[in-house]
Formats: sequence, structure tokens, C-alpha cells
Amino acid sequence: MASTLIPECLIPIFKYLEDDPVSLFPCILVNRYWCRTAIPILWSNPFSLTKFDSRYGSRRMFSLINTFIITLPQESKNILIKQEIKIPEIKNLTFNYQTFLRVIDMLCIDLAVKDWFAHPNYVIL
Amino acid sequence: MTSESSEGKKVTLKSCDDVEFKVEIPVASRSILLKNMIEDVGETDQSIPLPNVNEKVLKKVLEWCQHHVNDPQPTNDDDDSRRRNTEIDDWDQRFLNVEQDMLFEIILAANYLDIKPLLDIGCKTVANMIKGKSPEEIRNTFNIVNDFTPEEEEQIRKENEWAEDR
Repeated sequence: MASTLIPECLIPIFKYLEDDPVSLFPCILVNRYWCRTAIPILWSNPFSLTKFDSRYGSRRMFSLINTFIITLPQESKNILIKQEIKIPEIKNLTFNYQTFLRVIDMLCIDLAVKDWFAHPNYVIL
Repeated sequence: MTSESSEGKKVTLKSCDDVEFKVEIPVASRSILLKNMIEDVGETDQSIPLPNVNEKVLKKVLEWCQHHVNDPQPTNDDDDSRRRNTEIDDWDQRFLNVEQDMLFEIILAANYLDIKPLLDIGCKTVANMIKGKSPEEIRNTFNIVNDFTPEEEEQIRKENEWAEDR
């Protein structure tokens, strides 16, 4: 039974899906154990342009920035608020996602932030 | 111990259900765990107990080791290239065309015995089984019980919807 696969085995399985968040996404919803194991891999390098190469790319980038902003420390959020940037309302996240980041691609973040501002669901305060 | 000096020499492995296998040292040495043990202990008539592997699985794993006895030993540097290479050769595909329980037991044994190439193809096979499936289909395929509350599941979905293809 797969649920008895120890993390040492589940981790390499998920690593094959590392560059394919769309395939990894259902894994985090299977059960708590799969979720705990897959989330650090899903979030190790989310800001990667090839991952948004789909017709839903813009919407997905918007969602990524939405979650990412919530993970920022309060000082950083205060800076954004001062600039009249709207912070998403969710306060407590299930995981501290930012701690799983291993790669930061500034070009991708830049594009994602632009998409975030341009998205119809984004409203300036 | 070089492979030349160990040729023809055998080592006895004992499964957790007390079945002994006499195996040529180069075959057993596909397992880094066994390779290191054999090098540390030297020649011995005593069998090596493998408390985590039963007869059925050990037989299967040794069949793989025998077939791949002449493959070069993987180095740590190829971790990435092995991972990117999604091809599984025909013999390995047939070898892994087994009941799901057996596939998982092979993966666990490859992990315990430290046989990276076997662990790789096993994991790759399971990864291919996951691809394109919904969470419910994955649960059904692998017989997994969903222990999320609906609220938890919904929150995790929401926080990670950037990865969802819709």
C-alpha cells in the first residue's frame, strides 16, 4: 500500500514530478501524509517560468503571488501596505511555504508580480 | 576488494523469513549496503541477515542485480541526470510489471539495500502511475484513506491553487 511507503521512498517518487506542479498538485490533496511529503517539493522552486507555460499561466501566477505575500514577515507586509498594495486576507497558512523555497528566479517573480497587479481580482486599496 | 578477486566467490544472504540465498559477490555488491558489509567483514561463512526483506522480494531484487551485474556503479553526481532521464529500458519495464504490492516492496527493499538505480526505476514507475490522476483516483489506485477534514482539504487546495491546471 502506497501510504506505507516511508518518506525516503515517497520523496524520490515526488521528485520525478518536481518540474510538473500540475501532476504534483493532486498528491498534496491525497491525505495528510502525502501532503506533508509533497509540499516541500512543490514549493522548492515555484517561481519557474516553464511551470506557468499553460493557458492558465496568468491566473496561476496570480494565485502563487497571493499565497507568497501572506508568507512574508509583517515588516515586509507593512511596506507593501504603505505603498497601498492590497494584501490577501487569509491570515494563517497551513504551511510556512517560504521555508521550502530553494531557488528564486527574479525574472519569474517580476513577471508574476506584474500579472498579479494586472489580474482582474486585484483591487487597489 | 576488487571485482576480479571476488569473482566466483559467494556470500549467503538470509531473508527475514529465514530463506538463504547463495549469491556471487559482484551480484550482491549492486547493493551498496551489502558491498560495504562484505568489504568490512571480509570472507565469511556466516549468512548476512536481511531483517527487512522477505524471500519473495529478495529473489526478485537479486534477479535485477544479476541482470545488471556489469552496469557501472552510479555516482552521487548523476543524481540529476538520472532523475531527468524518464526512460526505463525494456527489460526493467518487464521486470517491474508486477502487482502493486510487489512494486512497493521492491522500492522499499531497494531503499533499504541502497540500490539506487533500482530505487530510481521503481520510483519513476510509481511517478508515471500518479501522472494525470485526480486525488481521488490516486487514493483508489494506491488504496489510501483520505484523513483530511473537508475544511483542511479546501484550505490546502486554495493555498496551492497556483499549481492546479485550471
